[in-house]
Amino acid sequence: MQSTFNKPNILEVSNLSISRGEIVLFEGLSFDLKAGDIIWVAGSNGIGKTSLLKCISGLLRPDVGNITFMGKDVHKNIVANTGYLGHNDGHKPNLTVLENLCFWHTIFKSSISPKQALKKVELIAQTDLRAKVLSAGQSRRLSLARILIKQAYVWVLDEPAAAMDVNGRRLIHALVAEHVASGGCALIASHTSPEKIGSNTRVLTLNGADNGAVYE
Amino acid sequence: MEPFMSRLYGIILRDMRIAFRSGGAWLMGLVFFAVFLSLSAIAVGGEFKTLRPLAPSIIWLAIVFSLLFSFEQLFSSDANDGSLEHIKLSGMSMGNYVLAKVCAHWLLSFLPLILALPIAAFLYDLQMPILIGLFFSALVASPALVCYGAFSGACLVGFKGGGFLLVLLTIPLVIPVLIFSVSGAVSFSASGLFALEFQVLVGISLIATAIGIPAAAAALNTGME
Repeated sequence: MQSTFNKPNILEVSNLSISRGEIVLFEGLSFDLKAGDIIWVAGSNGIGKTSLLKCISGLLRPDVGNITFMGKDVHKNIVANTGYLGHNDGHKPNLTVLENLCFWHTIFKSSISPKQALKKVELIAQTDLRAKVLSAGQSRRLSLARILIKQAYVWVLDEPAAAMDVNGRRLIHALVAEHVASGGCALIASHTSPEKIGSNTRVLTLNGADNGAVYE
Repeated sequence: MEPFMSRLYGIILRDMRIAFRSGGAWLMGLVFFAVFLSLSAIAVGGEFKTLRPLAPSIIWLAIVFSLLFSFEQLFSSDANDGSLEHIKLSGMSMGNYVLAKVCAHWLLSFLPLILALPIAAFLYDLQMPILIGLFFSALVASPALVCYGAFSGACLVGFKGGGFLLVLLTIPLVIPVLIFSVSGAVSFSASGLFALEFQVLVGISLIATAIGIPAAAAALNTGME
């Protein structure tokens, strides 16, 4: 990963509107993420945090507006540069931890070894356990290992701290800090209070369609 | 081309590993096939004289029925647990993913049926030419069956109780395959592999592959949003 000196906009979101069914979640949302930036997305349940995150990763099409990564529309060409951590971990229960990760290693054409990633998320002792015996927090750690393997510039984390213990949260912060320091950026939706990581942390609060979004 | 193949193998290998660890659930189709054949033999009366002319039709019905119920599971596991999202975000094209899933499904669901054909022949006292005819018709028709099934399965990802709709959606597509497969198996002894039925089956299989895989990929892409 190269660090950028003049910090061009990596990810640009302009005039974004998303609705689910009949309900408009938000309208006219614009922001950008540069190398080294972190944005915490806050807001109450059902306000559209997950939809926003899915939209930015390229999984959900917005009603209006566009999202570009390095100048390219995210929805027209999946750029394979978002590391997405969703609500579902997506591990196969009957495969071992290592087999699960090795599968993603093949799919992502990664150059990071799965064992190295497991060491980083402190799951090395569980390497040969089936994924179904992992606790919720350990399963979450395995998802983090998958993001590490993906070597993406933009990390999109949806409730990464769910089911995580104190050490787990510290681990997430450490990993995000390391990622940001190496020139990446991150977008994190969380119910825990936002913490400052790295030099440029912002909070984006979604208030529903009436108020739009507010920066702090 | 190299990463394309390694991803393909990756998915096939993973699916087979999951199937072999599922405690035999992947063999349900084969069990259904065997049960259907033995019950049909009993129902028809158990006389080889009456069974023999019916055998190709009954065996083909058994193949179609045992396959029909397997397509519901084809994509739903990956779609429901979120794996499909990560596969989409990896930049792998949905078509390649469907191709890999279809190959894995062929190996896990269709191949056991083809390998079980000699047992069916034994049960119905079939002559060698009919058995070979059945074998070739199953082989040639398999891409059509699996690709049509994959298309229906992809359309119904996320539907609760989609199994019933899936059967309705697949049956019209499968009827021509069934007609030509049965008569192909019978006419094999007379005209060999160049029987008209086999040519039609090859045609149907090519069309099904060319249409079914991209259509399934498009259905999965749309279903995710």
